[in-house]
Amino acid sequence: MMFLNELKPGMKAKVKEICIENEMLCRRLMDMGIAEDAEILITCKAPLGGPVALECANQSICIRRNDAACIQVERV
Amino acid sequence: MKQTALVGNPNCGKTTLFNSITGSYEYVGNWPGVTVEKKVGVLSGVSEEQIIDLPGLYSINPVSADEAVVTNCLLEVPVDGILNIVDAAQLNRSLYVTLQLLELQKPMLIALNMIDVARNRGIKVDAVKLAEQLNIPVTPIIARSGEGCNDVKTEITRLGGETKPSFFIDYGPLVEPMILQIEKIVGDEHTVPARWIAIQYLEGNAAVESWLTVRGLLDQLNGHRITLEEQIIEIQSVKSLSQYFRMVRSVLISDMVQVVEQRVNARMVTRTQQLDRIVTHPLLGAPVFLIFMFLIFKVTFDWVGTPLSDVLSIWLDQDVSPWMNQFLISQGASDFIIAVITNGIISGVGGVLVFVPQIFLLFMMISFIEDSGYMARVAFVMDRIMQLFGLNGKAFIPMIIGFGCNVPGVMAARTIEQPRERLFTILLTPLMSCSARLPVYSLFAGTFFAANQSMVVFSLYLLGIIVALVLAKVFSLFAGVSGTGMFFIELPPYRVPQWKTLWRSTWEKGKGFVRKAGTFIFGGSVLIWLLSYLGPTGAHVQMNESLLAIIGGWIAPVFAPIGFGTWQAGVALITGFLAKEVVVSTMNIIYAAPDAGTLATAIGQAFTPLSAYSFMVFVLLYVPCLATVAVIRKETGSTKWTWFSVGYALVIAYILALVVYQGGKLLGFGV
Ligand SMILES: Nc1nc2c(ncn2[C@@H]2O[C@H](COP(=O)(O)OP(=O)(O)OP(=O)(O)O)[C@@H](O)[C@H]2O)c(=O)[nH]1
Ligand SMILES: [Mg+2]
Repeated sequence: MMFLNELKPGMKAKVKEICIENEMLCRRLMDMGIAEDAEILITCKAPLGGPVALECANQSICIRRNDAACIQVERV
Repeated sequence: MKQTALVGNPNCGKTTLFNSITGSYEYVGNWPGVTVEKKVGVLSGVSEEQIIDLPGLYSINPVSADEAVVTNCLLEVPVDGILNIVDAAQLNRSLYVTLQLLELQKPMLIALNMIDVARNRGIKVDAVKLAEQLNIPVTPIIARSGEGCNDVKTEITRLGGETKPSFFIDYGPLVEPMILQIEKIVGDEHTVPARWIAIQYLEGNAAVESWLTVRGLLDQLNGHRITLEEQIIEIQSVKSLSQYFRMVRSVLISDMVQVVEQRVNARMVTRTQQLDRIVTHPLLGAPVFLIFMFLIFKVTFDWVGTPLSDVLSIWLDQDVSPWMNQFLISQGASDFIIAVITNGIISGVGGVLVFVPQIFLLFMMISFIEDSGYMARVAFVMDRIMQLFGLNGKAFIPMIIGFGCNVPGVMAARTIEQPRERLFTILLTPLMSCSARLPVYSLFAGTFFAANQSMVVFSLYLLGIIVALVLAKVFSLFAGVSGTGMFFIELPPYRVPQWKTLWRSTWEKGKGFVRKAGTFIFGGSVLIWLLSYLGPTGAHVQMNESLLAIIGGWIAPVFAPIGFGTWQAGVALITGFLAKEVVVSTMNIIYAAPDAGTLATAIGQAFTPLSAYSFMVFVLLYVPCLATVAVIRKETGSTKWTWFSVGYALVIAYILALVVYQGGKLLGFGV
């Protein structure tokens, strides 16, 4: 089992499951097409536990690291 | 009159297109969430065609307050047609909104925007095929350059009449009967079709739910959704009903995209990615931001702005004033009129207008940040710090806008999803040192700290930010919630701002300052001058015996402990509530300063460097200006919070000014 926050910048992964509690954020991610089987590339991680920037389907988005820790992924 | 609403994803170029087809100058910027309010315009040259520009939305089911504006507009306003902007570079996501709009069964057309961006990424979208798929007109455009905008205009005028789109999604044997049932309860006498309400309700659309509540329909529906959800979860492999709807639409969209989209070549590293390696670099990110801010500051106060303002000020004193005097005398104006004009209006209004160059420069640089795409990166870089104080990175966007003017800053907080974080951002944005405070700093720092003027002013800007952050923490502690905040932002690709847009947005912002000079400050100046001219014993009294001195004298003692217990300071601060630059106008009048030099001398006698700094701290923090208070009232919808925003600011301003003054005296700066 691996989670999105464990990936390093430049790594690609496929989403397995999203178990974020915050319903608003969940919906936002869905709207952006971040759902099961979506491919994600980590582009940047802010220092000191700051947010993570990732790319998915040509869009670049940021979420917090603790939320990234609730997205189960599989490396590709 | 025909109304067409502009709907689409955030940052897909809606306002750019709106400006182009209506000839307006609405606010454009390169981050999601620039437009937060409904704006109405008229198609240029076609007066019966009204266009409504709306905020962007990721989905019809609103998460943030600005998205709710759109859903509510669709629910309440009987628009005649919809102009849906689709971002060609983000086809999948855009079409998700498109499908939900099509279900409204209103005349609709698509403007396929950003085809230049898509092309650069090797994406080609076939507009003809898309039109066939959706059965509505599709016009490819590049809103930024204006390409295709005229075709959109023609299509809008053609839109409507009997041709309603015949679009229909079948949600399957389980859901359809339920939709029908709900349709019957809702009835079809509304601005939107009952089917649409039914679908949105089943998906859990909050705005639609409150729409139903208002009409007393929600109670009748409550059981329906729960039963259906249970069934769906059992039969389909989904987690919720809304996910089911999403799935049905997503399948449709993928099929469509397969037909209309062509990916030519694999993507190379884009310029945006290269830039982001520096700007959002783990170590360089924050320093880059600080350097950026400091440069802006230096340009405004040191390198360009102040010298320009000085030139203007000298021109006003040496040419305009004497010329006006001569002119009035030659026209045989009475002494009274001459005094009102030269001592009242020219001192008051002119004293503020000399800061126009500085303020326009500041606005221009803020506009540059807004249109470049850097804004969203700042939110990313600052999020960790903001989180420590109970806010999120997005709160920094209203704050940066607030450096220009607090009013749009407060409004920009709408994109913050969490209501509590949004409220705090609204309450704290007025602590950002806006351009109206700049004349006060220029005057005082120029007089007392000429050698390190820009450092002194910079310290005030920083103080504003620090106080805001500390208070955010205090507020969160008092609110007693530690729960998880939320942070989500999309990083748009960088764009080189166009001169045209840059100039326009600078002008749109700066215009407000000039307009204030012509209204508030003009009126205020005349009033102040009159009050200084009249006294209990009659007209043309000594300034110290005027009504103004009496009024100021009442509150002066309150300010004595913080270093400026003079009636002049008291009066200036009272009038400063109208707009903070009025502080300078008022001082110009009451120190009866014919020019900037004399004012500086007069102030030099009335204040010490320490009390001057204390005064600047007080002006920075004490009560938001009138316009800001009004917008806080509107955005919070609460009189209580509005009073709170005024009250806490006064208290904090007093305490900090007291600390500065008394502390400074103890340290021996008092002389
Ligand atoms: N390259 C390119 N840029 C565009 C195009 N249309 C708009 N832009 C840019 O996209 C950015 C966003 O434009 P806006 O018009 O503010 O977008 P909006 O949809 O109103 O955004 P929100 O109000 O935040 O929802 C601006 O920087 C525009 O200059 C286009 O066709 N091509
Ligand atoms: Mg807009």
